[in-house]
Amino acid sequence: MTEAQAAAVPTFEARALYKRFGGLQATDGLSLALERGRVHALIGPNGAGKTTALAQLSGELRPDEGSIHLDGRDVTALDMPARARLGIARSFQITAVFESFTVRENVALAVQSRARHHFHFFGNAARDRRLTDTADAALEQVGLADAGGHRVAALAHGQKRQLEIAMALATEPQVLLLDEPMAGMGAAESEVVASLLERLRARYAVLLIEHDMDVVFRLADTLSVLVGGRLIASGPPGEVRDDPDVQAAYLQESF
Amino acid sequence: MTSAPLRARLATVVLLAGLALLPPVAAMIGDPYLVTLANRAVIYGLAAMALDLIMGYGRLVSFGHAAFFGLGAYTVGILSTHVMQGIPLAFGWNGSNEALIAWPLAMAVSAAYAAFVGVISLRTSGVYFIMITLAFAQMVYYLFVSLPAYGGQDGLSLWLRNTAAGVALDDRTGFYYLCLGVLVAVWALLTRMVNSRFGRVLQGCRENERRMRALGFRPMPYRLTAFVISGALTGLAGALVANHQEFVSPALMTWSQSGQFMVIVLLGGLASLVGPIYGAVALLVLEETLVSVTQHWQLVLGPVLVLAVLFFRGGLYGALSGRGGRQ
Repeated sequence: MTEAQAAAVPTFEARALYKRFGGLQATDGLSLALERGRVHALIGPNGAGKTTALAQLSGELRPDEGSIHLDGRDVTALDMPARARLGIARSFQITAVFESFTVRENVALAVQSRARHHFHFFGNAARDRRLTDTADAALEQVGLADAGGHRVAALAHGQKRQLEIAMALATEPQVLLLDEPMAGMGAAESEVVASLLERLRARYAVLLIEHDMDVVFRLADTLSVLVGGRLIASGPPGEVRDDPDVQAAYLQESF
Repeated sequence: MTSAPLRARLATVVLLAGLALLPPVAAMIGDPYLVTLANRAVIYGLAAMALDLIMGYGRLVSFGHAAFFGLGAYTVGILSTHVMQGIPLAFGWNGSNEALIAWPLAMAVSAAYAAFVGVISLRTSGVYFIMITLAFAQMVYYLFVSLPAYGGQDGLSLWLRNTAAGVALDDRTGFYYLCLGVLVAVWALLTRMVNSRFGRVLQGCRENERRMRALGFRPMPYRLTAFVISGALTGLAGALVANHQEFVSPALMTWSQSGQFMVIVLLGGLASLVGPIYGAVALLVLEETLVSVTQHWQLVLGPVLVLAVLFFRGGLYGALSGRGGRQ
């Protein structure tokens, strides 16, 4: 196999997904490919079906038609926990962390999901170094190394988003599906997460749903535009931006 | 999940020391009835602590825990009846009065029933879970009401208390200490459990099920395991209450009994394990005090409990440890 051919096999691929809710065609023939080391950004106006698409990729929703493949393996029939264990991690648009846990405990639970030994009834998880050391490493990666012992409730919004990413990383995924990781962040916090993603990108196949166009153009290798559940353009960000259809449908407000 | 503040720990030490010193004090002031009363609190505290495992750490509000309690009690009662009457129970076995046989069997019966109920009811959540667990418990209640061989509505008297490794449990003080020992042992066991990897997963599912699924966890097996452990321990409390009262009846399985366990958990402090001991003692003290003041004591007790649950969100233990606003 030549190098060109190897690069042509995507890590994670969706082929012609369709999803209908009553009269609404939420996903209309969506195909996407993610490759390791590359960021694929998905943009579109509100209600375009971005989160519905991500739900199908992560396994939370079953598509009506179409298939999803991880390293060439068909994972369409697997639910979210099964896909997570195969290395498809997602973050949530609305921060979803365990509020009564400490920061380290949140990440330790994500680490534990890789270990597969959950029916340990007596060892104290807080003193289990296999959990806490890996959790601390993930926290260090996202810049929360000092916050490990804090209660989640004490974190700023931006830090909670960083924690979300640390939890996704701690599951040692191949694929990162990030649903608006900068939602609700100030400029400084947003910069922290953007440079974090810049550092991490080499190791993962990343799908980034994001509204902040500066971030999208800074990070994305491929940009896809979703309107009404259908991709109207997909390609290098510069070309997509200049596409007249895209400008007409969506980007005109942003440029 | 952090350790309790010093004040709360001290209070718990005082509470347990008080319970441990109660028999000699009762003997000194010549009121042996106190031991009987305290024994009740210890047993109900045990059942409520078992309920707290799933209610506090799993947010699985079971309104049917009286069924486990009753099944545990009836297991002891039925085994004892067969011994007395000399009628074989099954396979030519005449039952047993030995606690080392009867109590584990009581736990096994409750655990098996919990597994059955859990597999069905844990597919639901919220109000539906409450109603399904209640419905199952009512079925068990009516089953025992309609079993004339085991006393039906009237229940069964135990001819004798169980023996433990051949030693009779007739001594009131000795039995009290045995129950207290069981309570403390179960507390230690469950404390380790909620801090273990298993406990973390259970609490994660309580906090955010969707997030847990995204991390690769399926909640069902963890919840079912916790439900079965909770059922088995409530069954053990039932085996103790059968010996304590020397009598079992369907009254142990009523929905109001299930409600009482919930009240004890909420009054003592949800998701604290030790809270239900406070709750059981407090409820008993309240009852006994009000009974001595007025014959309409239940009219007073009801509103007091409602107010306590409303304004002490973390229960008595929560108020002591300064986490009253939890949840």
